[in-house]
Amino acid sequence: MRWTLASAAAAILAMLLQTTVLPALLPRGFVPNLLLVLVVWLGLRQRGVGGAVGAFLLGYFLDTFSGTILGMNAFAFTAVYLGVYLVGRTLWTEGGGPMAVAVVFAAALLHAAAAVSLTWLVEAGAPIWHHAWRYGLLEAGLAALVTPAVFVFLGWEQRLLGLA
Amino acid sequence: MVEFLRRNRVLVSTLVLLALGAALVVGTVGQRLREDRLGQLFLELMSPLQQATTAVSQVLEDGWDSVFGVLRARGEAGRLRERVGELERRTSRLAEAELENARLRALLDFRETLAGDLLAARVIARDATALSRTLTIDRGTSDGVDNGAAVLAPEGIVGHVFLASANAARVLLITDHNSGVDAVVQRTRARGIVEGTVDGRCGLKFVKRTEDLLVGDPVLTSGLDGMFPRSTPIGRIVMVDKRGQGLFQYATVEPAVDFDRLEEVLVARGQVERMVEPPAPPADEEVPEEAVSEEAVPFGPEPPPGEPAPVPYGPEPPPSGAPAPRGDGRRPGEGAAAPPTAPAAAR
Repeated sequence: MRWTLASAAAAILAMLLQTTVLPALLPRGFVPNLLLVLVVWLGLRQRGVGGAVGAFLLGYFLDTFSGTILGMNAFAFTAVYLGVYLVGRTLWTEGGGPMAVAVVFAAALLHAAAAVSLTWLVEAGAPIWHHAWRYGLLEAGLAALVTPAVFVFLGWEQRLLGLA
Repeated sequence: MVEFLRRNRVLVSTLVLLALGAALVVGTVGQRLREDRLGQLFLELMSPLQQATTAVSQVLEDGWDSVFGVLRARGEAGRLRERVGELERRTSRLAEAELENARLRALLDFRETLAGDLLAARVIARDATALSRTLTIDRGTSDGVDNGAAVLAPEGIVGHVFLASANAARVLLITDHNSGVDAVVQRTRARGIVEGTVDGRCGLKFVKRTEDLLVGDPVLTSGLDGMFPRSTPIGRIVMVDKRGQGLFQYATVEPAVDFDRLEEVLVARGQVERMVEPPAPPADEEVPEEAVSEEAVPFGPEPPPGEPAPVPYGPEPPPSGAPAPRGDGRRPGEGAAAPPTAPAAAR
């Protein structure tokens, strides 16, 4: 239950930052996807069905505030969770170290690939790959950049709630 | 089967969720309006938070903008200061070039009024002391400038070369006390010698007392000294002094040329003749009475109170009772009646 509360609070905070504060401070297109980092964190720390559902809900949550196609981010975040879950079986990451940053970078690329693939499938071959490639790289870079801070915050939150 | 699902429940649930996500996408793609109860709930929950955060972020944004604005303004101020400095320097250079252009144009116009070989020269130095009045120009014997060459400016005569090296020459100005130029008063054609004085002006000497001199009369070169072209302006009479009873009167002449601001001159190489007469002075100039003095005054400073007045300059006064003779207006050390046509170069 506390895990759910902690994840929900982190998700709300991330969404508020992502939709209100950061767009006001940063140039357009340079707002990092904090929810994606949260999904990676879930994949590394919350390895279970709850984590998968959490990733799906985070994607759904993002779909509510981003884009017009419902389910696209839910699908992509679930795919990211799956990827991180599989990687997490063999890798061990601590805090927001270089390994976590690398995982987030790869996860962001996977997120972009999953979202674009789905869009491409349902929209009958829309020519969005070129745009998606650039967008994916930018998103991956930005997400990797904020990963240490997000992981530090989530670790602090866990300690606060007695989860760590 | 159940055991397999239990062991791979994460994978299985993830695949189910993936399928659900894909189904959602397929179900909503192409729809212009979205029916999404969960989304509406999220929206409803988040909107007050977003409102509050937006208000906070607005404050943050303003602060952020202020900080960056100050930094930007500081950088911009530095750049603008540099730009202003650069523009000021450029403006100064342009103004300087414009002034030089005007001076050179005047010099060229003046050159057109003279017949002869004239060479433009730049003033490169002034006299090292305040006692004498000379200039150094950037032309010398390699340019054909020799000793005795007349130096002219558009406003009038400047002086003559008294020392020439290969690439420079020194010019004795007409205001130097060693200088002398044969002159004529334009209006009356009265002749005299213009000599420099220690106060930077010129004095017109050896003009007969009977000649009519007025303040404002232009004084020109006579051309008889063989150095300066005839009828070239020297200056204007600013004071007439008829004190003394000699044969001559004395007039103070303000030179036509401002020697302190002289930067370019023309140097004569050989004989130069003037082709155009200078314009006549305006006829309505009034002569201030105080500028003409006929009273005999003592030469030198005023005596202190209680002491006898010094003897007036001139011949010794006759015994008491007889009228005192008046001086001839000359200064100490001046020759007694030098001929009016004394050539300047002879000095």
